[in-house]
Amino acid sequence: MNKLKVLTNGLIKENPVLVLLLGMCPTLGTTSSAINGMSMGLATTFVLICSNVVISLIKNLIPDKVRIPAFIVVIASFVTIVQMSMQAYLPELYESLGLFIPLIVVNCIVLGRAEAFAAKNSVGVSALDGISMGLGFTIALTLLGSMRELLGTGKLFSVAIYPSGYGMLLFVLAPGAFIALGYLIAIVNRLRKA
Amino acid sequence: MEYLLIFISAVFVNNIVLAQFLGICPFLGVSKKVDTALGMSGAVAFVLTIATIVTYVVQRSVLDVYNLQYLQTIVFILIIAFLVQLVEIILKKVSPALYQALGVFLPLITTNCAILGVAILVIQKNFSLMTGVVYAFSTAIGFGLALVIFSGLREQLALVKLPKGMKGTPIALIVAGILAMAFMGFSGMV
Amino acid sequence: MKKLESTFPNMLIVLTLIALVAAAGLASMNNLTKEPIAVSAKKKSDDAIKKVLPKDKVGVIARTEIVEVNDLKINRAYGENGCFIGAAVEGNATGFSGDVLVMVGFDKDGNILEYEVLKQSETPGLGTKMTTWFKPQVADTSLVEKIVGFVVEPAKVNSSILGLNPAKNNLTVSKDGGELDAITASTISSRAFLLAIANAYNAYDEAYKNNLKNSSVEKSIEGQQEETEIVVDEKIVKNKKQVAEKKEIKKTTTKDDLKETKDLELKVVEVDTKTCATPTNNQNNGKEIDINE
Repeated sequence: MNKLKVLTNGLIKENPVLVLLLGMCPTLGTTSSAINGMSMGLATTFVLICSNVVISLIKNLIPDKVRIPAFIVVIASFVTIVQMSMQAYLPELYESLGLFIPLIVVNCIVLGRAEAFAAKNSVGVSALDGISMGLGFTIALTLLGSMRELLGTGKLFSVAIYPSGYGMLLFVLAPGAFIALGYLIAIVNRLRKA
Repeated sequence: MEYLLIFISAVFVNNIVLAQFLGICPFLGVSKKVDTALGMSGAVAFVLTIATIVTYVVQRSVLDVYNLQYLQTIVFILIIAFLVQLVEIILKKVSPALYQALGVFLPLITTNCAILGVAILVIQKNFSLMTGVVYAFSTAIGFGLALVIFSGLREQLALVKLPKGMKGTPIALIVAGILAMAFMGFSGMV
Repeated sequence: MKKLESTFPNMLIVLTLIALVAAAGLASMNNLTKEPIAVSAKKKSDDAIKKVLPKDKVGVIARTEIVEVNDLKINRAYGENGCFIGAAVEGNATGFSGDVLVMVGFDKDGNILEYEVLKQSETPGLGTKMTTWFKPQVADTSLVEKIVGFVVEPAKVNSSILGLNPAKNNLTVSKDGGELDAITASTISSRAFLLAIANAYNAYDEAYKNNLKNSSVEKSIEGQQEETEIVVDEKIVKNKKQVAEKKEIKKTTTKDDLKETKDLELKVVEVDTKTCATPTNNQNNGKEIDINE
């Protein structure tokens, strides 16, 4: 398989959020600012790469019938590692992402890639797939986070772009998350068909 | 009174889907028809309540006692996966009618983040077992309410003429946004 | 390598092995991060104390002492000469959507020096403004304004509580007859915040009275012992770790002094009430400070 193709696959053509529509909960829940969205994306990327590598390493040791519980244990371990390290070294970020850190476990992207890709491919390619999918996820979350932060508060990565009094507060609140993501996916749909 | 407040808060004010963004996948996935939405809501209410009780007991009587809190995520997700399987097998034997209604949705529930999310929240908020159960059940009702309203809207939406790019998920998300805006009217009530 | 068959022993062994490896890995990770997590939690509360008791207003904090009143923590701070210089006090209230927890710095006369919101879950963009609203407004010129060269002036509001004294100023929103402007569109959050400040002040006041009661005990040796007992009774927990700048303590005190920590502490209590200006919310004292501000 072409390694370059694996690497670019997740970024655009099969972007997990904008095209495959996976992992919607963290996408909506953590993108009230660009930096939060990006951090969540990077945390998920780390879990995705590690779980892909480990699962492709031990894929032959796992009997088929118990593969899902085995995958879940591997993924949950890496999620806990991320959780503990964030709590220790990035406590503020840990607090603002809150519940969504342990919930990386049930992010469909992670289990989905383990099942569909890592369980069938070699270590190197699986790692590349993890990087590609993770970055695709991160890009989508950063994009949505920037959009919401800019429209809602007039800031971008906490830098004031226009006076905050002119921001549309709705975009920082819950409804804005749905609406912004709806338009983002509509734009991507239109571009793909063109 | 306390339970009533928790109920109102979980169903309307802090609706799990529209305000807390948990359980979005089934919310978008199985909301094309009102019937399936009802089935899914029933299955979620069932598993969510049982899972909350079991995870609560395990946390308080095993993890807390032996200082193993760091195993929380791993233990909870395994319990939920195991419970879903168990419920499926038991339902099949005991009540085939119920299994017919809920069966197809059960495998989807393991990766419903609302279940794990609520189990962890109940521990984080330091609820008692009874409060936790009321909270879990109310959350499930809130999930069901959002899901059924949304599927009703989507049934109508299927008849609407839309620009190409907007078809399917994008317009569904925007409608969900407007629904969330309506639910914001409840905020500050509790 | 061939894939393992799905026989029962195989499945059992593999799952058990994976679970064991995962548990062992997490246990060692837990040991590794336990200390940093504790350190960062401690640092967070220390930083908050330092922030609400700014160095340029109260001087260097040599040590703090934690007192609890109504479940609220009061960090009483003492300067290098052992004088009481102020307190960082927690205050809580129920906000628009959840609890609000603040830490307020009071100087020895009860004037508010600085505050920090420790916990809140108010509406983003509205109630969350409480973190900066009740401080002097800072102009944040945006990029567009800089490029165009036309600055949109924010509306003038009278909302800063810094330098005010809850005993003398009516710290409520103008809607309730007070002297402060509420956050635009967030009156409930503003009320909650100000109630939290008021609760903090009450706790501070209460602790001050307790302190007077404790230190009015005779200063004889027996008296001192009695005093420490009362201190325990009143649930006053002395923070044995000499918080904040250990280095600075070392600079000013010799090793012998440190050895006799207990004596030192008792001496400090004595000094506190005898020679230093005692912590008071006395009107006259307060006014002097006001003029200085």
